[in-house]
Amino acid sequence: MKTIAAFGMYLPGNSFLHRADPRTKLVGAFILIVALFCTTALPVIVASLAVLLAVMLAARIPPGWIFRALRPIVLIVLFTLVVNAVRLSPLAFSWTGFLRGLAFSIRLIDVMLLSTMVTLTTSPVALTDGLTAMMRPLRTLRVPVDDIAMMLSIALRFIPTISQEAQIIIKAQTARGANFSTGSLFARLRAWTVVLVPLLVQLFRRADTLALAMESRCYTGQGRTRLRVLTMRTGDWATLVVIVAAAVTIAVL
Amino acid sequence: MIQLEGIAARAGVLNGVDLAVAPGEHVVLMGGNGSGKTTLLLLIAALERADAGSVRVDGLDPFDATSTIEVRRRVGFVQQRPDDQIVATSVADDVAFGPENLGLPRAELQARVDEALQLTGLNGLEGREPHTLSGGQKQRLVIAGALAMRPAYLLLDEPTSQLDPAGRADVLAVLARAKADGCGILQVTHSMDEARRADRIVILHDGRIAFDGTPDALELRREQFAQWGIDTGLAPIQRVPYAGDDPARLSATDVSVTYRVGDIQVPALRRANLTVSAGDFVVVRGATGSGKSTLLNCLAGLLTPDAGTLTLDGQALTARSTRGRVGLIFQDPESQLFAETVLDDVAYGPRNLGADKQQAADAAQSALKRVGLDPERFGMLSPFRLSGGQARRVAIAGIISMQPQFILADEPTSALDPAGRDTVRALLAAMTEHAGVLVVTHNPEQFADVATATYRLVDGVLQ
Repeated sequence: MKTIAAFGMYLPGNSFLHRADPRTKLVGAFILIVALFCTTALPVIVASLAVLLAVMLAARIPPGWIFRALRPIVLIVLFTLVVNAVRLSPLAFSWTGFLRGLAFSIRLIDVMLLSTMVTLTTSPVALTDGLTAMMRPLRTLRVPVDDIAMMLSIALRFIPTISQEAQIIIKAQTARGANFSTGSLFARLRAWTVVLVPLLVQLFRRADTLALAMESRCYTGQGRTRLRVLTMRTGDWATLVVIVAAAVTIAVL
Repeated sequence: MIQLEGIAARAGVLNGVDLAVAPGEHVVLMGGNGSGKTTLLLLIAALERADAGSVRVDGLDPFDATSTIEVRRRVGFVQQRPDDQIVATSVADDVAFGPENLGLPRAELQARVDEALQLTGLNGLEGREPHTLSGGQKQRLVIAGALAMRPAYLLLDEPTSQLDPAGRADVLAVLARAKADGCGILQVTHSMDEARRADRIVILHDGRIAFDGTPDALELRREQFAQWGIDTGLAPIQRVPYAGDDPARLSATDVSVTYRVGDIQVPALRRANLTVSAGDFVVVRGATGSGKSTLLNCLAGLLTPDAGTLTLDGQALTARSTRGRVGLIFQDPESQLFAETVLDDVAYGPRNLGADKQQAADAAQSALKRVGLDPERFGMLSPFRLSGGQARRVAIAGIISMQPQFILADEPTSALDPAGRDTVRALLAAMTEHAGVLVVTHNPEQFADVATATYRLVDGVLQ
C-alpha cells in the first residue's frame, strides 16, 4: 500500500476550533504559552494538560493525530525526566528532581499540544489570512503588507503543484539511471542537480505565465478589495476573554 | 470591436497585420511555430507593445496609460497551461482575483464569482484547492476568472492543447456559451477540428495574414496548408520490422495497485494483464486519472505493485533489472532536461549505466541521429534554446541512448504542433526495429497505422 503523505499538518473539519477566527487561535495560543512558562506548579500544568486534551477531543481530533504531534518531542521529554530525576555522585534517584522534571516535560507537552491545536484546525490559507490581518497596522510604517500577503498566498498555491512536479522529475531521472541514495555526500548532492535544474527552469517558466495572467486580470498591487474577509464574532471575543482569564489563573497559581 | 492596423512587432515577426474581431464573433488564429500568434494576442491584451501600427479595443488604445486597465478588463486572456495561471488557493478566491483588483465591493465580488462559476459549470467546487482539480476543470477555472471581469472579448492561446478529450469538450462548450452571450472570441489552435467551429479562420504566415475567411473557404486552399504550417492531417507512418534475433518480453499478470489518501483507499490499477514483445507496438488508450501513470511506473520498475507479477524476459521485474532495459518517456519529457548541452543531456543515461565518456558520447550521437537531429548542429546547443518539437526529440533521444529493449511513452505527442507531432509519431514507429514500444495516449488514432495491439484503460481496468 502506498500512503500519500498529507501536506502540512492540517486536518480538515468543521469543529468549533476549525470555525474560530485564526486570529483568536493564534493570539490565544500565544497568551497561554506565555502563561505556562510563568508557572512551575505541577497541579496547574497537569490540569492544563487535561483541559487541552478535553478540548482537542471535543473538536473531534483523532487521538492518533494527537500522539503523532507529540512524537518529535518524545526524546526531549525522556531526557528531561532522566536528567532531573537522577543525581550523579553519589548516583541516586531524586524525588523532587523527578517532580521538577515532570513539570518541565508536561509543560513542554502542553505547549506542543497548543501549537498543534492551531495548525491542525487552521488551514494554511486561514493561517496566512490571520497573520496578514494582524500585520495590517504595520501598513502605517510603510511595510508592504499587501504584497507580502500576495506572496504568501502564491507560495501556498504553488507548493503542492511544484512538489508534484518534483516527484515526477525524480521518477523520470531515476528511469534514466540516476542514483540519489549512494555515494559520497558530494556525489549525492551532485546527483540532485538533475532534479533541481529542471525544477528551477520550470519555475521561471511558470513565473512568466503567472505574471502575464495576473497583469491581464488587472493586478497592480493597489486598490484591491477581498472576497474573503475575516470577522471576529462574539464567540471569538468570548473565547479570548476565557483564554485571558485562564492565562492569568495559570500564571498566578 | 478589436481593430489592428499595420501592426509590426518583435522585430519583424509581425510585419503589417490588419485584423478585426467583432463582439459575438468566433475567430480562430492559426499558423506555424514562431508565426507570431501569441504575440498578436499579447498586443491586444495590453501586455506587449507593438513596434508600429495601431491597436484599438472598442476604440481604446491599450497603451494610453489611462485606458490600459480598462482594455485589460475588456479583454480576457487565457494561456496554454492552466496550472500556471491560477493565482489563489481556492476556486472561489481565484475567480474573485480579477474583480478584487478592480476594487469592487464585496457583495459584487460574490455575485461575479457565482455568475462565472455558473457559466463554466464549476458551481459546487467553490472551496476546492486548485491542485485537486482535473486539467479541464483547471482551464475552465482560468476562463471563469476571465469571465468574472465581464469581458467583451476572450483571447485564448491554445487553451485545449494540454487537455484530454473530456476536458477539451468542456472547455469548448464554455467558449460556445460565452460567444452566445455576445463575447468576441479570438482563439489560437493547431486543431482543425476546433477551427471548423469558428465563424472565421485567420492564418498568420511570414509576419502577415495569409488567409482570412470562413472554414469552408479554407478547405479550398488545402494545397497551401503545408506551406502555412497548419495541420494537413495525420501523416502515414510505418513500423520498422524487428531486426534483433532475441524477442524479449515484458509482461504484467494480474497487477493491482492501491493508493491510500488519508483514510480512503483508491484503486489505481485492478488486475491488469499485458504483454509487450520486442518489435511490438502496443497502444493503450487512457485518459488522465485512468491509472496510466501507475501502469507505466510499474512496467518501468519505479513502483512495486500490491499484487500480481511483473516479468522481464521471464525473470521477476525489479528496479535493478529494468535499469537501462526499460526506457520510460514521461509526459512533456522536455521539462526534465537539465544539462548544459544537448549532447551531455542525451549522454546522461548511458553514463549512469557505466559507459565511459567516449562510449556515452557515441551513444548520444547515434540516438540524436535516430530522432532526426544532426549531432554536429545540435549537440553543443543548450537544451533550453530549442523549439518545443526539438526539445521533445532530445528528451526522447535521452531515453533511446540507453538502448532499451522496451520503450514506454506517456502521451508522446501532447502539446506539439502538427509537424512536431508527425515527426515524433514516425520516430516512435521506427523504434520497433530494436525494441518493443508501448504508448499510452488519449488519441489512439495517431498510432492506428502501426499498432500491433490496442488496449483501453478505464478507471484502473485494462481491457
